[in-house]
Amino acid sequence: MFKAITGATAVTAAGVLLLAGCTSTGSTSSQPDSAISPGASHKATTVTVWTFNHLPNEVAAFKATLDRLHAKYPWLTVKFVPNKDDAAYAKAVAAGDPPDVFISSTPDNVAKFCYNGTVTDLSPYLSSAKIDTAKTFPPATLVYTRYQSKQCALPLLTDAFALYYNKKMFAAAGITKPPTTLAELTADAKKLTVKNADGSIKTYGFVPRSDYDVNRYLFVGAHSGTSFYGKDGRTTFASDPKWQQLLTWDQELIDYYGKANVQKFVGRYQPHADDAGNPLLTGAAAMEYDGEWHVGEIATEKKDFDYGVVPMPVLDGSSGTYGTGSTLGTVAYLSAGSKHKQEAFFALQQLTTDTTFLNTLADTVYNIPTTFAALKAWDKRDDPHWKPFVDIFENTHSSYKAVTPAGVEDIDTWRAFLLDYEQGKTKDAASGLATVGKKIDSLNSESGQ
Amino acid sequence: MTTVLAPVGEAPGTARTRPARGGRRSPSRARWWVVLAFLSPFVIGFAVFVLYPVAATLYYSLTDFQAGSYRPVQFVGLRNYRALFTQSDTFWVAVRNTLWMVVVMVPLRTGWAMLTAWVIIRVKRGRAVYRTLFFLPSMVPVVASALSFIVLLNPVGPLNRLLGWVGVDGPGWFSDPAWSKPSLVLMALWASGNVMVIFSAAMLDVPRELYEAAELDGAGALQKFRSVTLPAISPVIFFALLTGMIYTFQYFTEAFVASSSANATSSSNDLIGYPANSLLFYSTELYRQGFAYFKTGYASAMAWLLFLVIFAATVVFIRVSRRFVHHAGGGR
Repeated sequence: MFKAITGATAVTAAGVLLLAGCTSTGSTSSQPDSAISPGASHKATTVTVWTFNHLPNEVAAFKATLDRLHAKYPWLTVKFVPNKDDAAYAKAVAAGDPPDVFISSTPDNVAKFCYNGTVTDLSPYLSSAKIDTAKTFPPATLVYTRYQSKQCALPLLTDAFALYYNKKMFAAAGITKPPTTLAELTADAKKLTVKNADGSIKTYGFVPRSDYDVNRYLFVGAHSGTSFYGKDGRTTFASDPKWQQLLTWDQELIDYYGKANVQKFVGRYQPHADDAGNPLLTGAAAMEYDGEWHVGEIATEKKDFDYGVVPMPVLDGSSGTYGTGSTLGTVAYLSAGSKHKQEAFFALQQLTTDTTFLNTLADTVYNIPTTFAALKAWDKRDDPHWKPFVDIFENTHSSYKAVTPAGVEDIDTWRAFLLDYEQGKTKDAASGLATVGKKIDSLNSESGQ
Repeated sequence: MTTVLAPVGEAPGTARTRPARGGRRSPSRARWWVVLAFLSPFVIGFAVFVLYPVAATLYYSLTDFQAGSYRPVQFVGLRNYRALFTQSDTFWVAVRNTLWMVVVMVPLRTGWAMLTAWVIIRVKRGRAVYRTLFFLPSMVPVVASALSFIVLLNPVGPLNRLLGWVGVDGPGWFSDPAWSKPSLVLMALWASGNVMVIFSAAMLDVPRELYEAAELDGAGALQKFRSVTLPAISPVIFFALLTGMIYTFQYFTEAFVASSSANATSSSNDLIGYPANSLLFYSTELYRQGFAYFKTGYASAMAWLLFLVIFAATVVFIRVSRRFVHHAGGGR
């Protein structure tokens, strides 16, 4: 018996090791001969679309569009699966059963998926469909959907970030116009700060700490006239003195309020960044750096709130960049393992370029449409609260950092450094910047950059 | 007296002869196949769901495999293991946080369970009610209890309001790096009812005569606890500490839920370790490496290292425990 069991176990173990070496079988290699002609008849095909979206209104918007798509092209049926993240997608790919199209909430893994062959280079499909990306999508979106010369994904709505401010508080403090430089922001923040009788802070002018709300996007380069990666693909933290100036600005404002007070603020308001307890809405902060979706949230939570939106101030000495900002958004991939890439691309093309769909979904999730045509047709583009975001998005200098095969690990490493610096664990900004730069460069070279 | 056990299907004393080659299969061998057939669901299940994943992770740990990648998998030897110690800052943060929990939370939880059991068995009326009340939290699913604590310990939540009424400025609990781990310890104490029940049973099992003898020798309550109760329940203390240690080395769900609930603004990957990596534990870091960075090989190396550490710690703990664990019958 023992021999039988050990024998079976040995055989199983050998099989296991063999199987362990066998992961997903690889991509299918169909190249587009010619684009699917919308008017022509076509063999009935079902493509699977996974998306991170999960809220009922988002799912409803998707389904309505896909139903419309099916009605227009009856041969195309889309099996729509919501609530899937990058991890679920990678697992499905590893299991050899990826969806044909995957819509991710973040572009951070674009280069990783592209480098690993997980997703298809869309360039030949775009060419055969006669879609010129430069004429279709604003340049900011191409920064985070391309890796090297490959178009690894297409944008599907985007975020832009700007400064929100309480107009009444500005007027009460005698501030006549919003700041355009970080030095002005600090001066205004101090004027707007209100203390209680016991010395505690009632209203903060502006809280810059990098882990609060979306402040992390303040530190990727757009607002300091810097670039996260240089032309050689290496970080610029050690070579560009503006990074140190940015950190100094951040630290000075934190020190002004006191680390403990800032910690208390972050702890108190972090869970309420996107609800009625938001500090801008409750009066606990006079200014806030936030994404465009906050406009929609304010309209829902506090309709009569009197506020303004302007581009985020920039580092002094780089005022030429005022008006730019960080922009990044949702991306849609075509799986390399898709068994009907032509049809899947056709579905992806509809989802990423159909003006009605983009604008409906943008209105539903409070994001910005991502084609020139959709932006032009969007009824919110001239709204005083939405316009600054559209302008930032369309600004040719706005961007996110370049994406690399390290995925999200580079920005995570950067954020860990920022927190260490803000908490005083890293004392010397210059050497800290050099060290974190080397770490990120090393991560990238190990990942295949 | 020596007892010789006959193989299954043979009567004691039956002469055993080797069957001729190619001859009829012996009844005992045919019986083994029946046994194997009955065992096969387990054997197959074990091979597929235990042996395969374990062997696969060992193999992956020696490669650069990334989940979802179509690139050829390269054998990298011990590179992933070396990288753990030499290239990652967060690895050491996770190790430090995990050790903190093992050193602080496990003894506190064991001590608290012992104390509550000791108090409850002294209650004259309604002992069962109190025991049930203390036990109930351990039946609440971990995710639900973590969410409850997030609400209870919210910076403007009920507890801080209560503290405010008595003039105490409550901390940020799960949102302050200095308080996040102690908050998890509080949650662990609240849910220690399962350990309390075992302590309670062990304490009630201590022979009454031992206490009477101690009383005759003039021992007070504290001396009786130290000299009678503690030695008598030492196997249970050992059990609670050992299982607690193993559980805490793999601590994940509570930290993951606490981090994600205290930080409402970020994507799933940003939630790990919040605030400021103070809740980054070994298993959460392993999850991040495997499912956010897709470094399956590296995460597998982490998993194997964790297994080896837990195994070694268990062996050491069992050896050390021989000095303080008293077993029934007078042995240690």
